[in-house]
Parts: sequence; C-alpha cells; structure tokens
Amino acid sequence: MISNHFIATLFNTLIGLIDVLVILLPALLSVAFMTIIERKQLAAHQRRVGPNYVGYFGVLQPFSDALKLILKETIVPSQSNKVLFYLSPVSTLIFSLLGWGIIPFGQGLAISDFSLGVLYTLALSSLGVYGILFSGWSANSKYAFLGSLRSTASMISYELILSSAVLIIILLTGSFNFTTIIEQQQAVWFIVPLLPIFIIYFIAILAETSRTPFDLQEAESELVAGFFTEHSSVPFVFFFLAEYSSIVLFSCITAIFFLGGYNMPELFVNNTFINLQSIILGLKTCIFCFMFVWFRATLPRMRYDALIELCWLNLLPIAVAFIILVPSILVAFDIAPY
Amino acid sequence: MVSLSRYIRHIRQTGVKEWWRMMQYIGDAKSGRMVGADAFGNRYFENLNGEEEVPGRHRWVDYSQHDFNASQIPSEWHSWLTHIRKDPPTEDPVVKNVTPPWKGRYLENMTGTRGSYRSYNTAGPTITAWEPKVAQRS
Amino acid sequence: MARLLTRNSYFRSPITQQALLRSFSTSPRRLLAQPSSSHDHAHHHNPPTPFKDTYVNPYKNGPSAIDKAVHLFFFTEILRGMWIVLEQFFRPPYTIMYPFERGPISPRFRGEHALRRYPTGEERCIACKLCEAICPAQAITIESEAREDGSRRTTKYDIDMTKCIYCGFCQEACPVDAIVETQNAEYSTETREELLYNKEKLLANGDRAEAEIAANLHADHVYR
Repeated sequence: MISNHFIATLFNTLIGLIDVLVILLPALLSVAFMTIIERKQLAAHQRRVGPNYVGYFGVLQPFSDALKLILKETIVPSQSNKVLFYLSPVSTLIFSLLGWGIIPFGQGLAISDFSLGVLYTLALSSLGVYGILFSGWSANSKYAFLGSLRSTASMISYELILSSAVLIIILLTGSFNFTTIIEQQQAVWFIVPLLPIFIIYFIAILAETSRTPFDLQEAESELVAGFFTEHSSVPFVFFFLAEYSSIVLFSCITAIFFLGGYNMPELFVNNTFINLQSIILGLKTCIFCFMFVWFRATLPRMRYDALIELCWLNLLPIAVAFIILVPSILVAFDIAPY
Repeated sequence: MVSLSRYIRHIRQTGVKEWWRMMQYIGDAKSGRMVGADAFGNRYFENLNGEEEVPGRHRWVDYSQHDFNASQIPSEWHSWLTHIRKDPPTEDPVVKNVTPPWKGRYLENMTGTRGSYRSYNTAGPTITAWEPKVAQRS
Repeated sequence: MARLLTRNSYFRSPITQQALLRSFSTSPRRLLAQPSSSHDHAHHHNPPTPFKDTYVNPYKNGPSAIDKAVHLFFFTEILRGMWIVLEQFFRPPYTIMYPFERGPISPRFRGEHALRRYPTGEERCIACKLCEAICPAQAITIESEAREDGSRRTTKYDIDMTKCIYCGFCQEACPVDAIVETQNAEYSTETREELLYNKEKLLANGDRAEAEIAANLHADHVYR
C-alpha cells in the first residue's frame, strides 16, 4: 500500500522539477539570445549589420546555429581519454547552469534561497575549472592542452580577485545570502560606494568567463580554439552554452551585488500592481551583458604574462588593501549593519 | 545598430504594406523615389538624401521574383545600379541612342535548371571519316 | 543643458563655457595624427650636444608623474577607447545588402565576355585571331572559314572561362571592338561544362548587353 508520505514526496519532487525547468528553460533561452546579441552588438560597434537573414533581423540565428552544430559529426580523437572527453563539456555546462539555482528573481522567487549562496557561487565557478582542465588533457592535443593550462592558470588567479571583491560585499552586508545582500541595497546600490571594487570585480569576472581582454585560452592565432579545439558537434555546443551561460549568470550576479538586484528605488516600483521585480533584474542583467560585449569590441587581447602580472601584482594588492580599508571604515564610524 | 528612428521614418514614408514586403526580402526599411521598373517587373529605387540613407546604399532594387538573385537585373539597369551610369536607362540619352533594334531578350543565369547553357561545337568537324564509295561498274 | 548654461551669469562667459564643454567633451584631442606636445619637435630640431656639461632633465617637457599615475589608475585611455566604440554603436552601418544594393563598379570592369555586332546586325569579328594570339592563358580558340559572300568569319569562337584570367588583353587587341568584357559578374555555374563558352553564347551575351557595352565605350572613348 502506498503511503500518504510517499505521495507527498513524489508531489514535492515533481514540484521541484517544475521549479527547475521554470528557471532553466528561460535561462537557456536567454543564453541562446546572448549569442545573437553579442554578434549583432559587435557588428553595430564595427558599423556592420551582423547576421540578418534567419528570421527578422537575424533573431533566429542561434537556433539555426544550434541545429547546424548538432547535425555535425562528432569527432573523437582516437588517442583521447574517451570518458573525460565526453564528461568535461557536460560537467562544464552543468556547473555553469547550477549557478542559476540560487538567483533570487524576485522576493522569494528562487529555487533555493540558500543561506550560503555566495559561497555556493564561488565554489561552482571554481569547479568549472575542472571541466576545462580535463577537456584539454583528455583531447590529447597540444593546442587543447596549452589552452586548458592557460585557462586554468588565469581562472584560478582571477578567482582570488573575484572572491576578494565579493568578500568586501560580504563584510559590508554581513551575509552570504543573495536576498539579504539585495535587501541591504534598499537605500543605495553598492556600485555607488564601492565603485573601485566594482571595477576590480568586473575585471575579475571578465577573466573568469574568459572574455576578450583575457581570452588567452581561445587565442585563435596561437591555439586553434583553446581547450575545446578537438571538441565538435554536441560537446562543442555544451562548451559554447556553458561559456554564454556563465556570461549571463555573472551579469545577473553582478546586478545583484552592485545594482541592487530586483530592487528599484522605491519611488518607482514597490507597490505597483504588476510585480516588476524580475523584469528589473533582467534589465540590470542586460546592462552588464552589454558591457561584456562592449569590452570585447574595444579591448585587444592581453599578453599572457601581462595577464598574470595584472592579477598578482596589481589587482591583488589593491583588493587586499580594500579588504582592510572597508571594514576599518565600518568599524571606525560604527556603521556596520550587523 | 540599425537606427530605430531611421527605421520608423522609412516605415512612415513607404507605408506598412511596402514595409512588410521589404522585411521579407531586403530585411530593412528603406524609402526613396521609385526610378523605374524593367521588363520583368523589378522596381528600382533611389534615395539621394545623405541624412536618410548611408552613401553606398542609396540605389536599390526590389525583385519581382520570390526566388531572387542578382543576375535577374537586365544589363542596362545593372549599369545604373552599380553606378556605372548616372541616369537610369529610361532617361539616359546615351543608352537610348546605342540600343540597337536587334537587342536580345535578357536571360537570368539559368544554371542548375533545365534551361542552363550547354556547350557545343559551332564548327563542322575538321576530320571526316573515309566513306567508301563504289563506282558504278559499267 | 544649454538653457541651464545660459541662465547662470557665471556660465555666460565664453571662456568658462568652453572650458566646461571641453571638460565634458569626450572626443580626445590627443587622437590627432600630429603629436600634440612640442616635446618631440624640440627634441628633433635640437639634438643634445654630447659634451655640454649641463644636466638635461629627460622628463622636463613630458607629463608629470601624477598625470601619468592618474591616467594609469583611472583607465583614461581605456575609457576613451570605449567611448569611441560606443559612439560607433549609435551610427548607421555601412553594410551594402548585396543582391538588392550594389557597390559601385567601373565602366572598365572586366567581367563575362561578349561578342558584339555592328548596328546593322552584322557580327564584328573578322577572325583575325589577334585575341587568340595575345591571350596569356590561351583560353580562346578560333577557327574561321570564308562565308558565302566571301567575307572571312569565325566558325568557332570558344572561350574557356575556367582558364580565362580576365586580363582584358583580348578586348585591347581586337581591331574591330568585337570581343569585349561586360560588367556582368553573376554568371557562376553549377558545372564546369557550362563555363566553356562557344560563339553562340558569346554572341547572345553581346546581343543582350549591347546597350550597356556601347554606353560604356562611349563613356570611355575620350580616354583612349
């Protein structure tokens, strides 16, 4: 006999599954459109038109691209480590998609309002390195291997900067929880008092998502495509999705950390008839997505040693100085919120 | 960025129906003076206002066929569209003067269809086989 | 903004206005092709005499250390570059939508070949074979016979368009302007055989494009 308890568990599992799908499908859609936005925006910066044939203004280009990539032949190098070769794109994609689980899209609109959300995000971005490392190693190709080495080194280095910048926010809010961080910004968005930290943070996430001034692992002129040189077809799609998913995810997290997430100044929103919170968060995310592409359109790729030097010799001391400075100010003026 | 104000202005100038047709083919809203049409029904437009059209995009064609390609433009209009001639062939005195009465019908590039060109020898054979002829015996 | 500037008497003086606008302006004067500082010129015109016993401060005419540090720390050069890139974002693209719009080409453009006729309809080619002789790729093959009225005409005029390098020597060599290269470049084919043009094809090209060819020759006749 099936107990009530079992039915309740089943029901809860189903609800949880629907929850995940409700977050994941729009996330994947936004990732797909991020690719076309990037191409159109880059084209606009260079005064071209960009893809404009598939659908009106080329809106359906990502789907045509995805179809093309999926229909391609999957080539696996004969000397590769087959298990890791397939596992690495999957793990990279999963780790970058898992980050969506704790994003609050509105008051209480999160899959899990995890009290250690910030730590979870940092942990996931560290775990993402493994997929890249394994993909480069398992492909048994020197380009992929060199690309993965570069990628791993730069990601691990810039994770320090990223976590130091995040640490300052944690010190300021006294919480690891995204919702608490958002609510602390009711009065003023953190980008105003913490502008220098925002700059450091943005440089760090550019490097974390391996975007242009720091996309050494994909240096087309030196390494064919970096760590996914040997991946084709669906594994390549996974890497591609993971890259753009992490761009959108980090834009979203940046919006939460520095632009007050789903909050607007109370003047506009809070008691309106429609709940605009997730739309506001989306708009703020778009700002940072725009900035990602804007940086790509502007800046040339850095030399590798300059990249590492910028991290360890310039950014890290500044970040550490701010880690000391910000709590000192909080203590000195006795304005710590906790 | 395809300028939004330019886009809306061109829709207002051409009308919604024309805009819809343009979205199906050229994928952009353009408006200008219709210069003429050729025998196949392709329509040719021009907008010399540098504020409204980027120089280089000021002459364009609206193909009459759904399956359009660049070889569907007759050669006189081709020379107008590629800025070889300043005036359209309907107005150009030089083109009018030199058009002969035996001018052939324009054909688009028929490759890939049954009408495609096939090469053949226009000259007679240079070598002829020996044909035995038996003289009449008396 | 302009109203705000004119309302206040302080802002009315042109000098302060200019200074204000300059501080707001983002188009960098540094981006001019000439070096803006006189430092380089001075250095160029008066090379330092080696044996003079005076100390020359190498940083004398350059920016101060604080200036340099400020530019480094506040990413001024990067910000300038980003502003320029953003300006381009709001300007219309230059892309020419190809089958609908066309880039300009010259009346001397050398595209697909054509054989011309006289205005009477008589074909021009007299089978002198100068084009066959001058053709550097040896793409032209000509055979000729006397016609019934006694005039020499080609029976075969083949151009292998896969060999042709579109140098235009044939139309330069032709004494009667019979073989010309038209401005048509949209004659790509699916099979190689379709590019082996014979006399009929070339004459048909000429019959179609005669008006364009003659107008081009008319436009160009003053220069040759």
